[in-house]
Amino acid sequence: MFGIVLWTFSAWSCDVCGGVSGNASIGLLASTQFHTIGIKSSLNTYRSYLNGIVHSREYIAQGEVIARWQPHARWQISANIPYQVGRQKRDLGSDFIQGLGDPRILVNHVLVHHKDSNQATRNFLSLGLGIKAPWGRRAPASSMIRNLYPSTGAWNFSTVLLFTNRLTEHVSLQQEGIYTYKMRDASGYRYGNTYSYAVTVVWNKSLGIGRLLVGPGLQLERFGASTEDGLPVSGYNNQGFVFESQVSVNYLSYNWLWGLNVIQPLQQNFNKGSMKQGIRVSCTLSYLITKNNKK
Amino acid sequence: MKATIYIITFTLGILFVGTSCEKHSEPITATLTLLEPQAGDTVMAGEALHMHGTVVGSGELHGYSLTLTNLTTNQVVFSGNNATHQTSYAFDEHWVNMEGATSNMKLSLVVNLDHEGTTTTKSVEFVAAQ
Repeated sequence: MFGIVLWTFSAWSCDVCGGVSGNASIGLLASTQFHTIGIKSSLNTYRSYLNGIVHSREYIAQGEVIARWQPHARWQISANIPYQVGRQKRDLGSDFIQGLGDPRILVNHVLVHHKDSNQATRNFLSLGLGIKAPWGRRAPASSMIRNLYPSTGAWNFSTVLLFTNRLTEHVSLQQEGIYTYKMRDASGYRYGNTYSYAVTVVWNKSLGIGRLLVGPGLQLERFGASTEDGLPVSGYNNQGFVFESQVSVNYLSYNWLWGLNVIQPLQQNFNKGSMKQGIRVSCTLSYLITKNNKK
Repeated sequence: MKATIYIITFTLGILFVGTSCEKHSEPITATLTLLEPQAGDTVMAGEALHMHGTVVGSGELHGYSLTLTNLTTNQVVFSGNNATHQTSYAFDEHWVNMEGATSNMKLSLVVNLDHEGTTTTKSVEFVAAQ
């Protein structure tokens, strides 16, 4: 069995969505035999309401360069740099903001990696620490469309705990918990911390010249309230939660990994119901580089 | 036979036109709500004014416009309009006070109830201060 771990990491700065963590899936292999480099494109949609009537629609598209380096069997370093295009269409106007997003790096330590006699992964447990640097295009302090900018202007620190275990020859179960602590930006604005938990059943099967991996799952994200100079933001404070279903379809052929991820909110409550997240779709293409050193 | 076809075509045509031009039995009304600003508010220099509100019609409405006027200089400093036909609207706009002198301001919301010029209006006055 080729063990795959599809994990999420607090990835981008869209705060239209009520926090800084619209999680983005990154295809990572529990196998420690590869470095990876790839590209990812995604589209997220949102709607904002006033007394139950839609007053704006937001569309956030991102292109990212993603890479993972496997310096050692127990250490993985992944990084990505996004470029974001955001559009807000209001009843009486529109705004369009694009630019580089905040780069991120995640250092992951594999705590447990049990394999069977065929060298297939049975249990995999890792703990990761991530940093998001505020080097992307950020909103001016007076901006009323802060959510549309690619950067939050603040440092984020994430902890990622991931566990996957094989249930049968073709099925494994993956669980992932993420906590993200967010610093304040230069103007004193601070998005609330986020927590998320995701569970995914990953089914894999040999198909044609490669291997197909399908992962349906559920995810819960919780967003803390934003503050300004340490005081709660009045009105819209981006506090809330979203409970989502998701499915990932991946195909591995030769050294290429193709991925499609679709996330559909099932239940949500942001800003007391004044903002709703729509469907999120992302596509990933990664090239797997076989390690020379089998440490 | 030809006459029958003419009569049927004419009758269907009359029915179609009649349906298209059907007058509303009840005049359309709209409820206008300006959540922000409130009458008498003061917006300091450099601060943003939030213009939030809703329009809810008893039937299909024919668009609306929002206009912010400096009554002291008689200048329009913000305007926007939406010509789409909907039964309700909501707006959320911002304007930053860069007027340079304390001024009396007026925000007007005008809703088109039909295409014959029937409108309903709501407005609020406040102060842009220095």
